[in-house]
Amino acid sequence: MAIDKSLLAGSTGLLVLRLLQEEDLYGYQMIERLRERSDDTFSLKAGTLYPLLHTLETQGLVQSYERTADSARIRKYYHLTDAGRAQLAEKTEEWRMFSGAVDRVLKGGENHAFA
Amino acid sequence: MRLHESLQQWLDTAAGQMRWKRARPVAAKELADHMEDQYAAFLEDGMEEEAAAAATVREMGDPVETGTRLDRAWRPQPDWVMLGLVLVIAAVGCVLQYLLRTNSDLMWYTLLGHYAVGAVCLLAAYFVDYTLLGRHLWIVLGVWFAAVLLGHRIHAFWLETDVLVSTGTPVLWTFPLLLAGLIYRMRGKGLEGVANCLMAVVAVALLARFGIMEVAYDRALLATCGVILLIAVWHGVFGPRRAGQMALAALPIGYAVLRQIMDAVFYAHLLPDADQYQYSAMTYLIRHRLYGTEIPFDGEIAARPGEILAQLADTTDHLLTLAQLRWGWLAVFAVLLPLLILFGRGLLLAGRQSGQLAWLVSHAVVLTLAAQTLIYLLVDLGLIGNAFTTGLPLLSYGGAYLCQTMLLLGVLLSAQRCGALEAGAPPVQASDIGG
Repeated sequence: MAIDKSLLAGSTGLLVLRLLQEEDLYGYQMIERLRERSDDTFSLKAGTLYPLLHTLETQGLVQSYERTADSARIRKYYHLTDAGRAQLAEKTEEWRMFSGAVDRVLKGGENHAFA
Repeated sequence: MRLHESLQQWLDTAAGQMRWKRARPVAAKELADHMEDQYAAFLEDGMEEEAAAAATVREMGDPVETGTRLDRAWRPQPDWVMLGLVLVIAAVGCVLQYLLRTNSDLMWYTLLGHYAVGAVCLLAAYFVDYTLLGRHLWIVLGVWFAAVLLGHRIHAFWLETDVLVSTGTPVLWTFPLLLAGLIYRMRGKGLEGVANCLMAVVAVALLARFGIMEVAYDRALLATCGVILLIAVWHGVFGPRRAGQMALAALPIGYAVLRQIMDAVFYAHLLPDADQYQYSAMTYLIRHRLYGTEIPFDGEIAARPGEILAQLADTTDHLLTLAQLRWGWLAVFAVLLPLLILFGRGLLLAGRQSGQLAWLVSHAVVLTLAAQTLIYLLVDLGLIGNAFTTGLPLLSYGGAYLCQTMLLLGVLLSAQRCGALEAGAPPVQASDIGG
């Protein structure tokens, strides 16, 4: 089933920060990793990812540096900063509250039986 | 690797949407790398070249939309707060120099002229790419060396004297900026890199001491350069932090402190007659006024120390002394406070730089100006000799020092504006820090 992309739009930054929490990655790896983890549900375009990464870097949430990749070519890696870790924790909590609320609404008010 | 024609077309269209031209190659390089990886993956999956290129373009998304987003993400980042601070302090300096002038021939338009030339230096440094310090260091070093010597000789010729303080001295004080470039070139080279930087620092200190006869600048410059080297080692610029590197980088500071202590002991106490290079009459007059110490002179100086002090003090070397004499200590504090705010802001901006050269250059500028301010303050408090004196950034009278300060601040603002274009350094891991 195709997923409405607008559902992903607001949470792309959160997903990218989460991927970088585990290890430093370059753009292509992030897209591949995201596709694998979501069983091909999230197919992020490079045209969306790179502007997002550059914005996150301007905000000090990630830091880029050049390193030779496995392919022996120099690639621009991204590293999660301390500020990025804090933002990730905050946004994860926010997402859990949001998705929990959406779930409760979709379940049709079952949780409000005692209200 | 040359990109497939359709991929290059996509890239050109995307990069073309970005208004900041200097950012285009940086963003395009990353996108091109991505396309290469994607294209190679499709070929590996068994696709034909044309089909792989078409699939890669599809994967990349809309080039115009991508370029527009990149344009929003990539903008020069001028720091208006810093620029505003510089303008306000420069204006304060201009007014102070006029109000405290001891030469009645000094006209307001002369002072404004100095600041106008200074503004040109700031703008020139702001728009010239600061990465020149990393890419063409040897050329910059050659120009700097010629400027130091020429500045010294022209000044001596002009004044028909081999004066101690020359126009070469303010140029000499821009060396920490070049040291930042050299540290950048030596990045990742461990102890050897630190040793090479240290040798350059010593060579310049020798040039200061014996080449252009700056008696005290060797240790002041050494200490400033030592601090810059030390923070570079601490930051992991030379690779994993090691105790040997730290010790080597701390040598210039150790030497400067030792020399200062030796001077205080030997010259001031054991050999009082040999201290003529460091303690001028001004130093004794300031000490007499502030701490009530005796003046080791006879005649008019001893008879009317207060009047002589007011006559000898000028806005070049003793702006703070004059401010204290005229308006009291609160005025001295009020003059120094904006400079402290400027240095605080400078350090904040320097710390935010992810690019290694921008980080080094920004710290070098702030530390140089802070060192000059500290030296100027110590001289005006009579705590160190007059021969040490420098300019008080943006405030004291003197065209050469003003141009030097403006140039340094222009480089700092340039690094802030364009630092994002530079690739950052690999983060230092806890496991990289060793003894």
